[in-house]
Formats: sequence, structure tokens, C-alpha cells
Amino acid sequence: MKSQNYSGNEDSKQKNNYAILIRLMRYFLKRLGILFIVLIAVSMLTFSVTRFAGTPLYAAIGVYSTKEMIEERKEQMGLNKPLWLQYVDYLKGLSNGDLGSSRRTFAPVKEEIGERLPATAELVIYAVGISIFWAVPLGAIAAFKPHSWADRLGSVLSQFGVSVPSFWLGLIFIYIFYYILDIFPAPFGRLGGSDPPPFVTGIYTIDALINGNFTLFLEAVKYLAMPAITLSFTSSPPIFSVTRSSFSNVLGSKFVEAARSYGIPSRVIKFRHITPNAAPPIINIVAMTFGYMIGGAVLVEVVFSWPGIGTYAVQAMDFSDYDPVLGVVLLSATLYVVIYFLVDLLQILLDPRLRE
Amino acid sequence: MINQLKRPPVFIFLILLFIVLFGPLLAPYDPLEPKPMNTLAAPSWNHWFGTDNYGFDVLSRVLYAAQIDFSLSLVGVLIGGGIGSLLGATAAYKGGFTDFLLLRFVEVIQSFPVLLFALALFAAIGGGNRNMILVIAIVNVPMYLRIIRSSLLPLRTAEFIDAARCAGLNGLTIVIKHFIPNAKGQIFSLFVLSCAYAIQIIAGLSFIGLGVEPPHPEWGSMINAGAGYLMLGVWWPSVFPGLAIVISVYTINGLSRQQMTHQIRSSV
Amino acid sequence: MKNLLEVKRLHVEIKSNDKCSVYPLQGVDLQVGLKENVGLVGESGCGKSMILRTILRMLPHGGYQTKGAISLNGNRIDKEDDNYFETIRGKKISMIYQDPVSALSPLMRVGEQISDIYRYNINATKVEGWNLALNLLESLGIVDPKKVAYRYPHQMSGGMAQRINIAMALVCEPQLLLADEPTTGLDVTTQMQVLELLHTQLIRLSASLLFVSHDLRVVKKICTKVGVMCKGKIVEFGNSSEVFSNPSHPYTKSLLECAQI
Repeated sequence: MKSQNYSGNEDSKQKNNYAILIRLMRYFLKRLGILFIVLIAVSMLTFSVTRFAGTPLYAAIGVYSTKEMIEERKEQMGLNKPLWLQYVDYLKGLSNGDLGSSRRTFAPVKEEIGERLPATAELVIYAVGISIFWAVPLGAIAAFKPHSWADRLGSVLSQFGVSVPSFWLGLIFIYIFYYILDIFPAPFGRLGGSDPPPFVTGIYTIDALINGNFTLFLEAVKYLAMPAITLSFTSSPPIFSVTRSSFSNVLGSKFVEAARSYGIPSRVIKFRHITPNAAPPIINIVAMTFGYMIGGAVLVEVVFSWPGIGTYAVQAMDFSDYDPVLGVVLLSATLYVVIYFLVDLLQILLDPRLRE
Repeated sequence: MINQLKRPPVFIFLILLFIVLFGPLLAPYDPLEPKPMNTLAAPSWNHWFGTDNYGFDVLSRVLYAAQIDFSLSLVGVLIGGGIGSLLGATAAYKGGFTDFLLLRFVEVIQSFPVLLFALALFAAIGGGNRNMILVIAIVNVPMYLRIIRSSLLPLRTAEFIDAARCAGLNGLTIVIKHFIPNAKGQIFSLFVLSCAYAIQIIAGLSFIGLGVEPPHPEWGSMINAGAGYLMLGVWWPSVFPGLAIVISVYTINGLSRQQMTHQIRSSV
Repeated sequence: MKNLLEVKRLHVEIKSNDKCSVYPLQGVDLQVGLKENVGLVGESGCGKSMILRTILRMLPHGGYQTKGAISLNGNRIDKEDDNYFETIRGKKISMIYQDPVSALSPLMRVGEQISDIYRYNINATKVEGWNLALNLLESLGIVDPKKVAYRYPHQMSGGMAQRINIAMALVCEPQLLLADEPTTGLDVTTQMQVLELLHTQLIRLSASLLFVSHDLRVVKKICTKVGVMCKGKIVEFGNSSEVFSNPSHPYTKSLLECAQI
């Protein structure tokens, strides 16, 4: 082979690694900046709701207040300051983790959410786990074999998953599996009469296993089963769809065809070419589903009397107790935005093309 | 076109439409007329869907609720979709900082799980039908904005836009009359899907006691009312409204799928 | 003299799920002799790429060969099972594609992809494969093979990527190379480099070429025989000098007129 100097052509294409790093840092900072902007906007929204949601003033004072008492209270609560200063106070409070207090129980919202968050987390983790367990393999098979049983089964399950209201499905499950078949226990919480396991994570199934208490673990699972399956069924359609379309896209791509024509065995192609390329959108949708579900599990929690942050918010709502509601809303929104940000960064990590 | 009508999804959808439009006329009983003597009666020839705990006829309530659910969702989607499309087209047209700002704005809305967002909104300004429509509208704005924006973005530099500008038309006119019509297909298919989604939201909110106030018939609140009795074996007050939701949403989605395959096939 | 590749009366049908079928090939006859460069020309959609895919049995979902025979060195291969084709692809018959960057896996470094060919076709180890890959890059005249091997496909120019693709296709020294518009989309200078590489490599391996293109000038330059395709059939086949100067079929005539050759 003649040894020609091709580097002249390639210099323009040669990327300085240093330049790529700088570009990535700038992108990261830009996304971080956007993250902050969005969080600020979210907090502004919740702040304005606290101002709108009926004057907390009168509820705190009562009927027999004189004008002086009202003024004093107003001063004390900082309601005389200009609006933007009140907002700054609000932000200061947030940075300390102060989410207000429940009007009913007088306990700090932060504490009450903290007590209930593990319950929601447990439910969501298992629900997403179940979804991944059936939707991803089915979606992959459906992509490899279009119009096969996998494709049709997955499509039908997806369509029903979207059409069925989660709370109604929960009720149907309760009716069938508790009332008629007596397989699962009554929906009144996370455990029957038993005491929860010693606190490690707050997630009963994990804590029970850590403490070696297998009976408690089984009991927790029994109570977890119906709500987790319900939540999974109604939130898995996007996972199935995205898995199927992602694999489908990759299967039809030129590099898969080329690899086959170069004689690479199909088994190898599946693992080294197809799966890594199909994975990013799937990881994306799973993470987004997780982020959404922390707040989106409300209806299922309510139906099963699951002591999570969803029921907390709804109960508070019934008593016109607004601080808890806003605390939960703020938390969910923040979690979602942060997960979205992390997923964005993950995409860059996974796909070198995005680094340009 | 006639062949289209013969296909199951469209056919069922038309039946659904008929029920929605004429439900109240078909209802055998007044949905708000309680029969205290006849509470929680199982389905029978007199009451096809049985009666609930107030003695209301479940079938009649389901039929009336169809109108309420559909109309609320329709209005909400129209408002939200209209605003969202306009904003999306503006974002695509103007680009730059306007685009950036609109996208951030939409990100903020989308970061709230729908139900919690509704909770917060109701905490601020109260419940009721009007605010329900507001919730639906706000929830739809981001979806429409994003989708219209992404389908119109490539057209930003198209020649006919330049031509319109040269002709002296102002920005808003261009956006409405020339830009948006290119996304007609997208808007329509999104419209169908968002109506279905809106029904789910309305039902969910009514289930937890916000939204449509009892005793007005609404599928979600009916399910809620019947929930306690489910564990005692009285299944009909909750099951039938839920079935109505499932059938409605499934049919509407099926229609949209039908539309899409038809579009794909006719473009081949 | 036996032909390397013989295609007789080839019919292909593609069934889509709603019962309507497309027939991209409706009776194709062609022969490729030893050490011969055969061109296939025709407008988009006439089925020329489909022939290549059928030869390697890489038809799209729902595609079947319904009639005809494909023989390699006198042996019928279209009747064999799919496992057999894994012994043919890359080793006896190889293929290169139109968009060289898309033909490479986007998330894998180029060096690894080349190394894979050695690993799975001649059972090299990972280390051996990598070294062989570096050798290959060097033999292509690339100045810094290590640097290029660590790159991702999207970081390469079209020309370099296509040369790498060609080298990858020829690693196992196949007898027949199928080329699906390999120079379309490259600028003229790069086209020359790619064609030159093809030319030298094919001579070195004594291999034949089946070159599909809608660029008549390129075909005229490198192919000794040419077939003209129209709507799933070959309407004219012969020595390229004759076909280009004295076309007999009316379609060929109009094709040449449009291309102003």
C-alpha cells in the first residue's frame, strides 16, 4: 500500500480532547444553571400558593382578636414585609429544610414527610422493578419479532394500562384478590398488626431482610403486592413502548446490517451492538418514570391506605391544611427536576456523539 | 371513507359519541333522584347497573357523567391545546431567547406530577368545575407547546415564511395563518390523546374529592362513593363507572391509533 | 468457465402485515465471473440494493425469495439454512455500504470494531485482534493508527470511514465483494481515494466486485461489465464499453441521456 499522508484531511476533524472537556464543562454548568432556574420557579409557584391559600393569619389568631393583636401577629409572621422579601424568607426557610408546619398536628412538615417518604419510596421502587421486569423483555422481543405474540400482548397490556384508572384497578384487585380469593390481605397499610422492623432504610422489605426476619419480610411483601402491581400496570406502558421502538430502531440501523455482513455472529451483535445502542432511551424513560411516580402514586396510595407522602397530602387537603400539601408538591417537583438533570448528564456519558 | 366507518374502533367511538351526546335522554331515571328504600340494590331488570348507597340509579348516573366528563375534558384540552400550540409555534418561529424562556416555563409546569399540581392549585384557588378546566388546560400547554414546536422548528427557515414576512405580514398573523396549519396532523392526533388523558385526570381528582362535587354524577367520584362497599361485596357502584372510563379512554386511544395507521398507509 | 456468482430468475416478495405485498425483484438474471467487476445501475427503487441483500440473505422483515436460484462457485446457496450464511458473510462474500459512518456502531471505538472481525472470524484473542486492527489501519496509510483506533465513528471523515469499512470487509479475503453505492455521498477527491483502494485490494485478493450505483460515470470507470435495472428486472447486461456506447434497450438509452454520458 502506498503510504500517503492523509493527515492533512484529518486535522480538521481531529478534536482536541482538551476542547471536548471544556465543552462538556460548559454544558454541565449550563444544565446546572437551568436546574436552578427551574427550581427557583417551582419555589416561586409554591410560595405564591402559600400566599393565596387563605390568610394563615386569621386561622392563627381566632375570633377574639383586637386590632393590635392582629398587627402584632402580622409583624411576627413577617407579613408586612414586601412580597419579594417574604419570598427570600421563604427561600431561607427552604434551605434550612423548613417546609412549614401542619395546622392540624402542629408537627413540622419536614418531619412528617420524612416519616412517610420511605413508604412511598418502597412502593415506587417495587412498582418500577415490576414494570422493568415485564415491559423491557417483552418490548425487546416485540421489536425482534414484530406482530408476534409478544408484540400483541405488550400492545394490549399497554393500551389497557393507559385506559384503566389506577385507583379503580386497585379497587378491582382488592375485590378479587382480597374479598373473593383471600390471597392478599386487606388494604390497610404496610403491615398487618406486626411491628415494623428496626429502622435502617425505612423500607420494610429491606429492613426485615437485613434483620434476618423472614416472616416479617413475607408479610411486608404481601401488603406491598397489590399496590405495587397496580402502580406498575398503569405506569409501564411508556416503558414497553420506548423499549420496543428503541430496539426496533437499532435493529433497522445500518451498522447492525453491516456487522452482520462482516460475519459477526448474531449473538455477539445482540450484546455488543444492539443492546448498548438501544439502552439509553430505555434508561431515560425508566428514570423519568421513577421521578414522576414519587408524586404520581397518590391515587394508588389513597386506595390502599398506604402511609406515603401521597396520602399525607390528600389528608391534609381534606382539612384545608396547606403546608403539608405544598411541602409534598415541592418535594416531588424538586426530585423530578433533579432526576431529569441527572438523566441528561447520563445520556452524555453513554453516548459519545452527544459530546460534540 | 365508508370503509373507515366499518372498522371497530371508529364504530365503537361513534356509539360512545352517541351516548355522550344523548346520554341524559337514554337514562331511565333521574340521576339525582334518590330512592331511600332501594339503596345498594344489585343489578336487576329495573336497574341494569344497580343502585348506589343513596338509591341513585347507577346506569343513569353513568350516562349523565359521560357528558360531564367529556365536556370538561374537551373544554380544558381546547383551551390548553390552543394556548400550547400558539406558544409552541411562537417558540419555533421566534427562536432565541423567547424559545429558551418558553421551554423553561414548560419544564417548570411539567416537573409537577399532575395530581399534586392540581392539589396545590385547588389549595390556592379552590375547587369546582371551572378550576378543573383550568387544571386540564395548564397540564396540556406543555405537551402541545413541545410537540408543535418540534414539528415546526425545521420550517422556521422555510421560504414561504420569508415570503410572508416580505409581504409585510406581522408576526402573529404569520404564526397563526401560515405556520400553525403545517402542524395540523400533529395537533389533531395529540388532541385525541389528550382528551383521553384529561378524562383520567378528572376522574382521579374527583376520586379524591376535588373537582366535580357530589352529588353531581362523575365517574371518579362515583367510584369513590362505592369504594367502601366494595370490600363488603357490593361491587356495582364502583365497577360500572370504572368500566365506563376504561371503555372511553380505550376507544379514544384506539381511534387515534386508527388515524395514525390510516395516515401512514395513505401516505405510502 | 464457471461463474463465481450466478443469479437466475430471482424473485423477491416483501409481505407487509396488512396483506399487501411488494415485489422488488421480478426475475433477475446476472453473472459475476472470477476477478470481474460488474456494475449495476438504475434509478432509485429499481431493486439494485435488494439483489445484494438477497444474495447475503439479509432481507428486511417480511421479505422472502420466492423463485429463482443463487449459486456461488456452482453451488446453490439460496437453499441453505441461516447458519450456513454466517459462514459465508464476511468470509466468502462481503458487503460495503453507502454511508460509511452509519455502517459503524456509534458507541464502539473504531479499533474495537475492526478487532471484532478478527476475533470472531479467525478466533483471534482480544489482544491479538487489537494489534491486527492497528496493523490494518497502518496498511491503509493512516499516520497515527493508535489515535484513529481510539476514535468513535462520528469523529471520522467519510473517506476514512469508508476505507476502514472496505478494509474490514476484506479482512477474511472474500472472493466476492458487494458494494451498495459506496461512493455516493463522498466528495469527488475522496471518491477517487476510495475507488483506488478498492481497485488495489481487489487485485491483491483476486476478488470480484458487484458494484451497485446510480452514478454512471463511476461505474463506467471501474466496471468491465454492467447490468441495467428497471423495476425489478435487468433489462440490459453486457460489457460496459458496449452498453455505454451502443445501448440496445430504450430504458438504457434514456438513462444515458439523462446522465449525459
